[in-house]
Amino acid sequence: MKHDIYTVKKAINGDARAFEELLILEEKMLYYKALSYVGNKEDALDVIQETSCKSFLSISQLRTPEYFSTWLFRILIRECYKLLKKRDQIIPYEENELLRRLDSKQEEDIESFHLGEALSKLNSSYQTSIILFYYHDLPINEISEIMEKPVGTIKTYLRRGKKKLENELERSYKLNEKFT
Amino acid sequence: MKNSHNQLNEFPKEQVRSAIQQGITQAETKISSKSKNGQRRPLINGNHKVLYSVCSVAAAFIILVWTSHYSPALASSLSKIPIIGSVFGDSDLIGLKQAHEKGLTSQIGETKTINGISITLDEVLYDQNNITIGLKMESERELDDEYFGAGMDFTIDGKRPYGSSGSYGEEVLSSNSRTAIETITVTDEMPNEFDLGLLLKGSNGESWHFSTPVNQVKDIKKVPVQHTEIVDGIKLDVTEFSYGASGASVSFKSSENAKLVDDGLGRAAKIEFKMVDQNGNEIKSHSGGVEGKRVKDKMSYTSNKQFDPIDSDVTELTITPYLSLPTGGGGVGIDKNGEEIELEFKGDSLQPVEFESFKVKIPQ
Repeated sequence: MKHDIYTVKKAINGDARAFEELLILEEKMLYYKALSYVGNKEDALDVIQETSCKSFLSISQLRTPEYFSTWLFRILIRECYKLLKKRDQIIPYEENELLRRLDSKQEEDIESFHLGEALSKLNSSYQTSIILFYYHDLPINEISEIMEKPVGTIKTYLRRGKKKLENELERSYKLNEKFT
Repeated sequence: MKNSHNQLNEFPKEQVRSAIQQGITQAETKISSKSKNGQRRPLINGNHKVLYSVCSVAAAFIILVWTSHYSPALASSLSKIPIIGSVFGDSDLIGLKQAHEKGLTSQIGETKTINGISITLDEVLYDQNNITIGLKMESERELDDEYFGAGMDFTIDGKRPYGSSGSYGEEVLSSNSRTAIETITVTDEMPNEFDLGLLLKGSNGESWHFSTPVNQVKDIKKVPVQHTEIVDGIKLDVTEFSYGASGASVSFKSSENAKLVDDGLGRAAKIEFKMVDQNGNEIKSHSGGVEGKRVKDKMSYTSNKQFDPIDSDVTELTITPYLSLPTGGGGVGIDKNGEEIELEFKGDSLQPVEFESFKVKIPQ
């Protein structure tokens, strides 16, 4: 969303009302984005509150007012990730959609009912990076910022995560075949 | 990303706005408590000085207790000195002190210790303006200034309120001990009696939970006021004056054209009151927050401005509304090329207005 640069500048200078105005313009996006990560209304509201607080405390560091939205949503996603990590929860995703995206880069078709199970067997870092990259379309450098890990580590998580996912799926098919 | 969550059916606009506002308030409190702590932190010149002070205080205490065996008068005076002070009793706010002395506060004294940090919920006062909570914090190790962040979150009968405002400030007594006072502004959604849940979080992930029943103090007297005026586009409607042992307050509504607020020229949120009694003694103001709502082209505010308690011999008050206009401000911004630019301060273009005084008779 494009914001009035004058309002963004006022917010950068600590004007709480201008800042609130900007956040209200993004309110729907903030809510639905948070909801897509944390999966329930109460947590989404908590994340929005935390994001408003953290972003107001650090807005003086925003060097390019034009990127206000990008900067704000990065903070929001980081807060979602923190909340889920604290609770040891996985980022919610829609199975069919993640499947479609993984599928388009996969030679073999994956069946939906195996995916959730296979994904749940990966460690949380692999799970998170796969969901953020394939399902939420986040670039690797943003995932690295959110997870507070170097870009190289995220690439490794993705590579190894995919490999493990393939192995798990393969194992799951074989097991399934045995029983059918 | 495909957005097809089942919960998309309804957008909880009010709750999202409330979360945004709470987050900003939280940040503002953090900023202001940071600057307050900077001013209030006592100077400690090395460990020796502290040790000497502790030793001399301990020695003086032993001598006093020993002497009191021989002097009943001294023993009686000593009994009035609290060994561990009360957060409200030691505060420099007259209203809190008076409420504490008159027994209007609920003294809790519940302590919870996590990771070597003991938090005591000392006292709670629920009056017409605020719920004020006094805490004592003692720790085995040194804690940094912002260890407890912006203070506590609270619940009313187990439910999180839709919106809240208030303040949080700490008084650092030493590197290992401090006291804190949190105020929560009273809103219409708060019942006269309820279970107040409190949650304080520490930087290392500690969570101290407290729960205590609270009752609004019953000594509050209310005097309806009907003072309405429109001056230079600002509508002011003073509705009530209330007073009790913990303080007095003026309730009012104000409004103006929202376009002025958009242009940084709003004034209706800047109304304060000067209050003097029949003998010309001024009652100290503690200001108080303003809640704003935009309805179409109008910006409306409601507020309770708070004052010290009034003396029992006060029979009449003269209250004069005025605008508290900023005298400086502006700042520096960053343009799209990353260059610093000066931002214009518009506050000096705000014109003062003269409101009419009104009188409030105090029933005897």
